[in-house]
Amino acid sequence: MVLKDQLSHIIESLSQVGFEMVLIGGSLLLLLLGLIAKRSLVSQIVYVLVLVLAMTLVPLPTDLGVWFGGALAVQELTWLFRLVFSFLGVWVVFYPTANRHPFEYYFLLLAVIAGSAFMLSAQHLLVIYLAIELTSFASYLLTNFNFEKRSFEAGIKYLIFGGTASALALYGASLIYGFTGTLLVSEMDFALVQNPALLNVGLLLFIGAMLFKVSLVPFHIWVPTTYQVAPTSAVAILSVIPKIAGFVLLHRVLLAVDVHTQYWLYVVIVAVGMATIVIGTLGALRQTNIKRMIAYGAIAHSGFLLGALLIPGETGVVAFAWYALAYGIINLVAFYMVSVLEDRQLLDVKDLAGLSRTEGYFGGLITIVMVALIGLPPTVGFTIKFYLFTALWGWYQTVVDPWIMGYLVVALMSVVFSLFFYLKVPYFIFLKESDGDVQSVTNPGQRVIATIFTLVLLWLFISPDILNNIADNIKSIAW
Amino acid sequence: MSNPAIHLTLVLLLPLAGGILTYLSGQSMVRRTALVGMVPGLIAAGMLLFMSNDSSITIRFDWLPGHSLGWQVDHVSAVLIALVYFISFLVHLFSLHYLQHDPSIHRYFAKLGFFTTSMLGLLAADHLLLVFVFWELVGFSSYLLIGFWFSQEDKAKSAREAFMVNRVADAGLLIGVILMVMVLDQPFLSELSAVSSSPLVHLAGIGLLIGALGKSAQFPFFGWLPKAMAGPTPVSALIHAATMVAAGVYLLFRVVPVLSPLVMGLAAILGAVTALMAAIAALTQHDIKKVLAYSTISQLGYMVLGVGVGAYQASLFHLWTHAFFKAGLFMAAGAVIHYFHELRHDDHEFDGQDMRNMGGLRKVLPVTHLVYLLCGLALSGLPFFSGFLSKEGILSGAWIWASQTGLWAYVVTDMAFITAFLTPLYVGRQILLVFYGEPRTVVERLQGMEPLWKVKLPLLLLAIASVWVFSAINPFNPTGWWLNAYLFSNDIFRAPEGFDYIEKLTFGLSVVLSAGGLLVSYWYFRPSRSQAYSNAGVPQTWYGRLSYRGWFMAEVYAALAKVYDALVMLSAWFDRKVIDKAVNAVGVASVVLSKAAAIFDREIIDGLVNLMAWLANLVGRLFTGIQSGKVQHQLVWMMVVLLAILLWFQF
Repeated sequence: MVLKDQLSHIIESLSQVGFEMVLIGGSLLLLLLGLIAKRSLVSQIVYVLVLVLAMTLVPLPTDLGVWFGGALAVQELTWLFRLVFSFLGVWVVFYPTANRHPFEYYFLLLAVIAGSAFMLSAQHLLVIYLAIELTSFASYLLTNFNFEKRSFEAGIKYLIFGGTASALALYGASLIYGFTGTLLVSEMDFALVQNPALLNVGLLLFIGAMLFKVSLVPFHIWVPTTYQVAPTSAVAILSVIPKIAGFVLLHRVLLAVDVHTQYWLYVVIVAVGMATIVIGTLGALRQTNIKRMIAYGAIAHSGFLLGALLIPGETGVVAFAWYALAYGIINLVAFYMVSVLEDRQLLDVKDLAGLSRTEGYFGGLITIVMVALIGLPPTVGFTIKFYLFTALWGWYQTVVDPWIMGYLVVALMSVVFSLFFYLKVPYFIFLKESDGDVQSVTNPGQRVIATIFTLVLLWLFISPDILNNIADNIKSIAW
Repeated sequence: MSNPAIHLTLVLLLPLAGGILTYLSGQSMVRRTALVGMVPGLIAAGMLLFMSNDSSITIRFDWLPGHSLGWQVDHVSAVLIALVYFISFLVHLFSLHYLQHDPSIHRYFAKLGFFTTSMLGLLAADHLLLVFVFWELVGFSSYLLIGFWFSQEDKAKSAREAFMVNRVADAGLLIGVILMVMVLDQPFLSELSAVSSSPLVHLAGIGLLIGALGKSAQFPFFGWLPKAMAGPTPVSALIHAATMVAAGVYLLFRVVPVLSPLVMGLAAILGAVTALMAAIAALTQHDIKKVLAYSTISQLGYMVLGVGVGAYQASLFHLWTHAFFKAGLFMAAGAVIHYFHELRHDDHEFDGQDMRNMGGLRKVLPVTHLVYLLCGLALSGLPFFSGFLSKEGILSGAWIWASQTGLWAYVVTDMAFITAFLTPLYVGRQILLVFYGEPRTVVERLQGMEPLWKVKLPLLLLAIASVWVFSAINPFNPTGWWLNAYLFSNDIFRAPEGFDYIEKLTFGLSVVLSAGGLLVSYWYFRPSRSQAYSNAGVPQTWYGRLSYRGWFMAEVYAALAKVYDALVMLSAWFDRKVIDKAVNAVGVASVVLSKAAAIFDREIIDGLVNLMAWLANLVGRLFTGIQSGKVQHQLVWMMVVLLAILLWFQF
């Protein structure tokens, strides 16, 4: 290609990544502004403005393609989740602790979102690596923003974990490159390799980096401690945005490998998913710290999302997109409630005993959120789980694979078990009597925000038009 | 949303909104707020008639992928919505008078608004699922209203009984709805098309029929309607005479295209049987409201019969006329009861609903008497009243059907005609015993018993609507309903060639039967004899008791409940003897194998919980091992798992 053509291709490509460019540019601007205006409110406003501006620059789903010589592939899912990320990101400023964080905090949040956005479209091994690392580094730092000894410890552990995973991933990437001769995921042809044993090792190690990002077994160990000590609004972002992006990326890699013909990988993924659901659910059973409990629950949710990757075709992609979107919203709401409670040092379920005497309304809202996390009507949690299970069942009937059946059974059992720990929260709020005085926890503003958040969960269940529209837009994707 | 959709939403939600407002503003404001929702709603419902005039209002919206729900207001729905609004409005007015001293009157109006909205939703729903949803809401709100005085135990119990009988029938409806939506793929009422007979079609039809029989209080479900009389009397006028009980007939009317001949025949038989049984039961009641309750069941039996024999237009006509005169009768009865409550409000032993305590009331309640007389004559099917016209259509339809079906079908027709004779009998009995003769308790004129706006207006409106001119110009033409052209485009059930004589015979026979029935009742209960009635006890003969106890339906239900109890006991026994034994066997076996036997040995639920706790403990210990805080250990654990995976798939 002539230099001129290359340049024009790059310039043309740049117009397609306006979203990411605005995020990066905006984050740098925020950093500069922060040096001048120290007030947190300024950075919050800039943060929201950057996200809103970025949202307007998302290319339409009609305007898709492959850019930067194949390094970035912009698909319908990219379009959808760019919008979702910026939308979800905005809500962080409504958390009760939002004013206590310095401007660097918002800079790092933008960096997480930008890295995740790149993960949505990256298909060059090195770009994938860079995107994951950008997200990870920002996450390591965000973990520390409570500035306590515990959080430093957790942050360092998180860093060491991430470093190990990323070292393994680089090694895996080099193996893949060595065997296939290309760095572009889309151009790899795994069927050509004669003796794939080492290639498979490389593949598994590389996939490990993504498993780390989406907190799947055996790369989930960092999750509970990190979620427990990190600032809650950061956890709300970390548990949603990089995770969804990681799943989209993981699916792209699995599709390139053609997981349905590489049976060993298929089995490994299924086993990882089942183990994730089991460990997440059982781990949550005995937790009394609400944040830690939801962290384990989030691990289990990763297992559910992984199930949607295994179902090919329209039902799979719709199940994934719905689950990811609704999971994001539910988690954001759940962590908002936790954040409000945390503000009054109420993080152990035992502390919530008798809260209904002063906070009956807020307790009711929490109950709805917990019901959504379990996946029962009348919340959107039910809609997505129901659709996912239907899709899994449909896929099982097509392939009659006992692994899929096992997956379905484990997932269903997990829902039953999750009743025990999620409902512990309303149980303590409404049925237990407290020993001491119960003080009111929320102020009217927080109740209003919590109500809006919760109504979204109910509204999406009653009127799933939005979900249907999304399904219409993405069901043509090769999944 | 489009314009008609917004309008329809308003029509449906205004009664509920008004009810909520009334409830929130409390008891002292009830006089001002009770009609806030109904007046604009009534106007909006009138406008709905015009909006649906040219073409039906159809609204479809997506629900789950592949399923859309919908509303439709065609001429029939629009007319019935207007009817429900009209009656409900009058009942609102009358309730202000009837419940004026009740401390929870604001709660009453909230429930009334809720019921009205549910009923309207049922009429506007097009998708069977929506029909089912509103069907259940109607049942639930009626339960709330029957149990309005829930602090009195017998009333709360009656409400529960009525609700439970409905539940049983609703299970049938649910089966029908599921079959229609999922198997027969005919979810929209407005798009039903005839299907060829198959066992599934029969089953779906029978399911829908059972649901309709339950809501319309038909045999074998009719025992709940007399129980429902525990609610305030205006409620009985609205729910248990004019609207809710007609829902079953309405549903049957809608699903006629998919009903197989078998189901239609079944409906005809059950309708006629109910009509006759209830008419017999009405003959001996002492409670003024129970007479009306059984007569409602009997008249609904006529409507179901009409649908069953194919004369469903006549059924709808009868639904229409019946709504007016029966609501009138109930409200007039309410006025009587209210009068006695005011008169003897310090005497708690006194039963203000017992006709043995009444008599001669025409002097103290003149307007009520007039209304009762007009509506009662309409009910008994005398010419020049609306009831004559609509009943005539059903009777001749039944006769024509029988002549085409076979000899056995004449039994059904005969039952309908016998009922036509019994109806004026019990109506005449009631009017004579309540309003004529000498008073059997001391009565006196009280002030404010018939205020103009709240009592006279609704009562007289309903009474006037029972006169023939408000149904058809010609008092002798049963197919002359002025709404026929609007509702059915004049495509109505007519006698086929060569059957004209049946219509003429029916005409003559109904005149003779209704006049004869009234005369017989006058002979037995003429004013000079009525004094003896105050000592009348419970009938002692077996047929008298059969009638008085309403065919022992309550006892039958109780027996069924006993059977159910026995089933429960049986399954408990099975659980104890078989399942528990099996569990124990497993436990014994596993004692040998592992400690888990201790868990399985207990009851299953306990065992599960314990197992889970044990699992959680195990995992917990595992985690304390891994997450000992030393990051090296965690990394080692991660690598071990990774290596295990590698080894597993490579070798």
